[in-house]
Amino acid sequence: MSDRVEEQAYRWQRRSMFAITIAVLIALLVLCALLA
Amino acid sequence: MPFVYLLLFIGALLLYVAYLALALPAGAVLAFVFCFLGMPAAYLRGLARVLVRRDPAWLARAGPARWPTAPADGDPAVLQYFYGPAIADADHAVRTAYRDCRGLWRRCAAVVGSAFAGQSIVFTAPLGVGGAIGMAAGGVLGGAAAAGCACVHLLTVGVSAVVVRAAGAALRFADSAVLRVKNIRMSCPSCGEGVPYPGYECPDGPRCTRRHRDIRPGRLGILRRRCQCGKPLPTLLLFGSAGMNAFCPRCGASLEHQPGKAPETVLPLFGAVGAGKTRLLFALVTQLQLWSQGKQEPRFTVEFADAATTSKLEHAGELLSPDSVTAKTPVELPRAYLIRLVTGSSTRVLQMFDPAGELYYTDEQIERLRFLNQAHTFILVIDPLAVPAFWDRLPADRKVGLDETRAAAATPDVAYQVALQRIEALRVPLRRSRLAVVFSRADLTDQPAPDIAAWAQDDLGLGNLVRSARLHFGEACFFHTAAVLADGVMHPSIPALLRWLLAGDGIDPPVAPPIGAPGGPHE
Repeated sequence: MSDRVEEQAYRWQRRSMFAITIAVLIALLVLCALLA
Repeated sequence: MPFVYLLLFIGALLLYVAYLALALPAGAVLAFVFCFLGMPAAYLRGLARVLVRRDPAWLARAGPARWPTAPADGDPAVLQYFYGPAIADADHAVRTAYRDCRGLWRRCAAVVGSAFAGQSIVFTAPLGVGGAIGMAAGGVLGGAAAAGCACVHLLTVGVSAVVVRAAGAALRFADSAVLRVKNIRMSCPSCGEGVPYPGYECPDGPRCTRRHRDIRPGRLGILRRRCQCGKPLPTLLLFGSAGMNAFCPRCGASLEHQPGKAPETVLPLFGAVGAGKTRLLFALVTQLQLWSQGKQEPRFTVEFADAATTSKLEHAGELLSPDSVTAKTPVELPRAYLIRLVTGSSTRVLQMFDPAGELYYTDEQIERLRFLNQAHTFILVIDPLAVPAFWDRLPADRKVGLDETRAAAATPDVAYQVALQRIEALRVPLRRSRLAVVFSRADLTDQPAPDIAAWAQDDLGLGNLVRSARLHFGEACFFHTAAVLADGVMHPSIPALLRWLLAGDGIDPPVAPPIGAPGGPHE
């Protein structure tokens, strides 16, 4: 199995994880700002 | 003059104190902001490198140290992201961030350290002191912020993994439920074993010859999995996996009939050697074809479900002329004949097994007939000419020509009892099964009385067999058939038998015969 296959297989999951993580962090910052 | 110098000194001192008052906080604020924002930024930058950018050159230098490996005996597919790789990526991101944060700290420390060297140390040292204080505070808080980012990422991965695994379990359950509701139970036509779920070949064949034994949602994919060649495969029959080339995960034989799409009915024939099992099977198949070609029921169509069945049964009708002799069935593990019946919107696959009679005589042989465990309807074939009492009573002129064709092995009673014992030993649930007791050669003997069971008891002396069949099986029905096709017309006993066999699975063949017609069933 080549790395290319794994890279292709995990591409959208990795990007989703990054996007969700950033979204959660922004949401937490906004929440903290609102609570403050 | 000394007074002037004193005033100048005091002025310079006040200026320096004022410089200190500005430089110390400025250095502290700068270092604090740099560390406090730099550390979480370093984490997010590392995360982006690991999850999004995936620069091959960078990965070659700083690839993950711990990458999950699929089990050696597992299917040739890429691990599902949330069954190991996601954690490896998180680990990689944390280690990358840690390395970047240490680099940031070292750069900060170098800048602060340089403030305490050089000729202008008097002016740079306050900045260095402030920077050191800000660096310490910023490092603590920045580290905490970076750790918070890592926790958010790990929490996201953990929650996603739980959701994905729960979805996989739910999909497996839904697929099993759909199979159960549709009453679909699969079995292998080659080894006869029940198949919980078919294996599938990579759809990129013949370029890729990899085989996947269990494609259901799990560690190798939820909605679909990716073969090691890169080709995606659906993971469930619900998602269309039945369209791929299937194989038996137990014996590896190809399953051309697309298992899982339609319910399957296993119909095994058994009886003594030479009883007429193969000829009866040819007649049943030919009758199905006649119904399919007939005009009275256009919704009823029949087709052979695989190439092996087509090659063996394509010309079955030609072997049913009154003068033709059926070849001896080889004593080997039989392969099922697969016939797909389509009645309106419903489809069913018949798996008809025609083993040689010898296979029922010994424990070792019958244990290989795993298909018996999958059957709910059995067909016992008996040659009435093989019954000594019946043969002895025949006039000599009637025996002419029959002697060569009658079954010569064990008497039907003995053959049935031996087979029954063996089948019971396999723990086949006979009380939930149906048995068709078929007396063959109706064309060679006189038409028996309308009550075939009574005829078998009185004329053939098979009372024990009749009672045993009724005792052991949930339903037993008796037929007298002639597997003969003359001028394109099948002997009426064959459609009657076939109707009874199919009725057990709710299949409604074309045009029911009148009750009490010749060859009709007798309970």
